[in-house]
Amino acid sequence: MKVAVVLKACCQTVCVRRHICGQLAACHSALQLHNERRPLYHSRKYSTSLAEQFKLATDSKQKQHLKTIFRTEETDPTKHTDVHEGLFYTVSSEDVKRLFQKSLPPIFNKQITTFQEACLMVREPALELFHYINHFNYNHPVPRFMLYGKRGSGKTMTLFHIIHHCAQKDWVIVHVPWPAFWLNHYKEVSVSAHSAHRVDLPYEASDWLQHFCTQNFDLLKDIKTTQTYKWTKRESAAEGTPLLELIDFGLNRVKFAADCVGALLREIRVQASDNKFRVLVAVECVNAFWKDTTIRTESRDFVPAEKLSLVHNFKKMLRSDWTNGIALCTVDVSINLLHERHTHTPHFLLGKKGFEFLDPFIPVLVPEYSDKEVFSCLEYYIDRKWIQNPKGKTDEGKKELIYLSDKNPHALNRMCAPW
Amino acid sequence: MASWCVRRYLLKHTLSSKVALPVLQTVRGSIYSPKYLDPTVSKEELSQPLKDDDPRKFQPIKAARTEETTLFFHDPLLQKFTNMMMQKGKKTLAKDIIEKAFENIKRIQIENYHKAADEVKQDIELDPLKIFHQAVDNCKPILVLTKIQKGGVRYEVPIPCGDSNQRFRAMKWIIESCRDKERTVHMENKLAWELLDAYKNEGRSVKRKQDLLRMCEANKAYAHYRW
Repeated sequence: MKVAVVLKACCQTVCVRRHICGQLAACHSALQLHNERRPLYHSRKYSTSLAEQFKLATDSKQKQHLKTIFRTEETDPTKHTDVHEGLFYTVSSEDVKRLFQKSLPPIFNKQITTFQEACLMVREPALELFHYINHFNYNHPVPRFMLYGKRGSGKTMTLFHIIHHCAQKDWVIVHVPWPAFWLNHYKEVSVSAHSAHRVDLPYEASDWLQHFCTQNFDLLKDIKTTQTYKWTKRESAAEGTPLLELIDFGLNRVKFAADCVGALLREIRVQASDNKFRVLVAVECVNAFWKDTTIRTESRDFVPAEKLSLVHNFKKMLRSDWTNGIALCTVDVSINLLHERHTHTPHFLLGKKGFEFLDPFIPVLVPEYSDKEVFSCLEYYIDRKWIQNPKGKTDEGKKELIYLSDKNPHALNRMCAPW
Repeated sequence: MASWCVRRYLLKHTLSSKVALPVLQTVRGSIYSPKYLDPTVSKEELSQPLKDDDPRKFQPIKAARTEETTLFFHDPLLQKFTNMMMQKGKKTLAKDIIEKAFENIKRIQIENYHKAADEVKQDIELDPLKIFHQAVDNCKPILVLTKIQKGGVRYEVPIPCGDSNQRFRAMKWIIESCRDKERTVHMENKLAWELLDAYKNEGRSVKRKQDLLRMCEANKAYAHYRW
């Protein structure tokens, strides 16, 4: 009889404890929105009672009821603040299709199909840039920001987070995904119809027009040209032509696609300066603009990338002679040859010419994961079943993974891939 | 003549050639003398203090192999498989291919897992290492055929297959059925598909095992020639 009573009492206490923990875990994400920044990957300080806290901390059996927080419900990137740092947010599949689909790194593209969802981590450099974007006086000329960091530290994913943020605010997005492809992966080369000393890559230009069109389709309906563009003796775009028509012309007449890009970018610059809309210029791997292509001239020299009409036009977007926009670039060491990869700093990667062109710019370092971020990432991987080895899910296994990857996001992904 | 040499000579010429001598007729010797002990790799074992009478205190110990690690994903069976996959001594390449194959297995299974309904989710095996172990197990033959000469005729006689022979054959069949592929198909993809097939008791390597067992069944009548 006595034993039964004791057992019953025990059960009750366990139930109460579980109930408390369950409640706390559930309301934790709500709490985070209001509280200030704090370390929270193993937040055990739920209860105000010290005794309860002590019990939670010491009782190892209770650990399974404490959920580690790695995900945030806030899917709107315009509302991300310091509170969400280190947490994953889900990008809706429509947004992925519209904004990212053709430009995501292949590994992340694979990850989307594997996980059946697209999640990005809210990280410090993106939050820093949100702060700049929110507080900049847009009557001033366009500021330039430069994301830099080691290979695999998440420059591109940060850029996508910022693109998503600006797209949410209905900005026009001029996104150049990996221009280094133009240096050696071109389909066709022709002399520019506009000026004879420049080189056109017509198919790459039409690809970009398509990319631009899908990214900004809703906004482009209302925008019209402010001057006439003459392509040939017979063909021209009169003043007041919708930009969509201009893009259609570029897609149909591939010969003029590169010139269309030039006209389009000019319209965007002019009309943004007239306060019609705001623009985000996002260029990945901007140091490719000052490299040599593999195209040869008649004298067997390599054509510099600056002679490509596409590069010429996009460089104009990076000049600060227009307003109401923001230019954001990344520099990447991976397009350099193996013996030219000493550091990842913009000064080294851009070279003298590039640095003088972009100077002054605001460098933003994309660091490797902090402690909090790396644990959050591992939890996310475990949640999505990406880490399968039972030993990998233990604290010891996590430590090994962190040590082996050196907290580099890409390396961590690769380390977890086979196990 | 050294003593071991005499022993081997006598064994070779006095006993019947039909008798297998797996222990005595080693092809390659170890570079270590037999008094060397195997290295301790397990982290838990290493952390425990040695007893006074532990042989590791007094005997020399072999150097650890390059692929033996204390990391959590170290697996002895996988290590064997890597060495069998290896060509021209390129172990890094073999390891790379296997890891990529495991990643492919995971990608296929996890995608199915997330797409599946909640009831079915339990049945999907996601751990590539478990799939690999199960695949090798499924390819292991119980019997093999050996050629034995009786009265001027060579008979194919079914005999039971030892543990290491079973393992060897299973791995060999998996690898051989992957190598027989088109040039454009990558080894890591082919290996992933083959392992998944073998896990489900399908595929070419499992079929090879079944063919062998069928042959053994057909030659059941010669079984007594074994002695």
